[in-house]
Amino acid sequence: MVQKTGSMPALDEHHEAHHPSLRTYVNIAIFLAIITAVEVAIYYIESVESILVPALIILSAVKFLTVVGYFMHLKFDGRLLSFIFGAALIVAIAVYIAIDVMMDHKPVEWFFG
Amino acid sequence: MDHRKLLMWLFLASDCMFFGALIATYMIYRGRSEEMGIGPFPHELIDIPFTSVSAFVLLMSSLTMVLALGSLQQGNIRGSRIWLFATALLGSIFLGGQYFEFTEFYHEGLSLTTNLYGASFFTLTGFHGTHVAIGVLWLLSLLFVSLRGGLKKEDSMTLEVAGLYWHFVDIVWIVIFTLVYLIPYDEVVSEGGEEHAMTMVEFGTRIMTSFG
Repeated sequence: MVQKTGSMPALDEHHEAHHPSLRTYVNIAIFLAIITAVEVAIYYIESVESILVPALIILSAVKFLTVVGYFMHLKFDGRLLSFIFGAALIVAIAVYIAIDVMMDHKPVEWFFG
Repeated sequence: MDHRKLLMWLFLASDCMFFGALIATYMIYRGRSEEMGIGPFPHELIDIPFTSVSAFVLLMSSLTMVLALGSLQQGNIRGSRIWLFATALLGSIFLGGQYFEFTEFYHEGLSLTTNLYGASFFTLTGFHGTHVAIGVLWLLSLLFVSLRGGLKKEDSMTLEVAGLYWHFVDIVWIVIFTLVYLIPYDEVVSEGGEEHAMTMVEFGTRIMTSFG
């Protein structure tokens, strides 16, 4: 099963140096579960209706970045990986905003008012 | 850095743009079916409590995935097998929920060709479900390899690469859950949507006619 593959030692300086403990992973999962519960709760609360969309987007962004940073170890790995994924994320968001503006649609307006 | 890990991140970057395009398409056509008056509409179909449980199940599968990897990295082979099985099980439960949801929607009259909502919803969530199904098969194959003694502490990168794919599937659902399910549909009434949607229908009709 073991496959000896090539590696790039120069990019390996942070790898496996700062992996969180299993207890930390459990705490992160509890944090993510609480955020999910808050998302669903505010969906039903009428008094927060005016800020519902930005609140939901911020909460999901926090969940997204927590999973990417801790569960996918991007926070602890080399910057090259963060650059690769970050660049793709920026392109994906930019394409969406560009199409959104061209179609004279509203989603961008929800957030920026 | 292991080349398999670098290659997986490059794949995930491309997959990120793939799902970005699908989500953008869904968001652009959000609310257009209502303007055209062709139902059923999202607010008549979506079951937030049910989908919240599915989202929670997939989120917890990310925890079991890191526990499987952590166990293997510590040399706890039995623990890694248990958590690997738990991850595949949670993924299968999520897929079962998606199958139930798709079936319910279909019985309510929504299909891939009913309206713009049906087309964009089933395309987006269908591709995500396919990714989850591939992930479950991948995890089960790793479990099979482990049971045959082929997944040891020194093979942890093999499991880490599979874990990266699994967590990516989870973060895509985090975005879908918010944009497709939680953001209320009355927030998204676009202007000029009916004209645009009709133009798209006419465009599609012309293409179909040209192909005879």
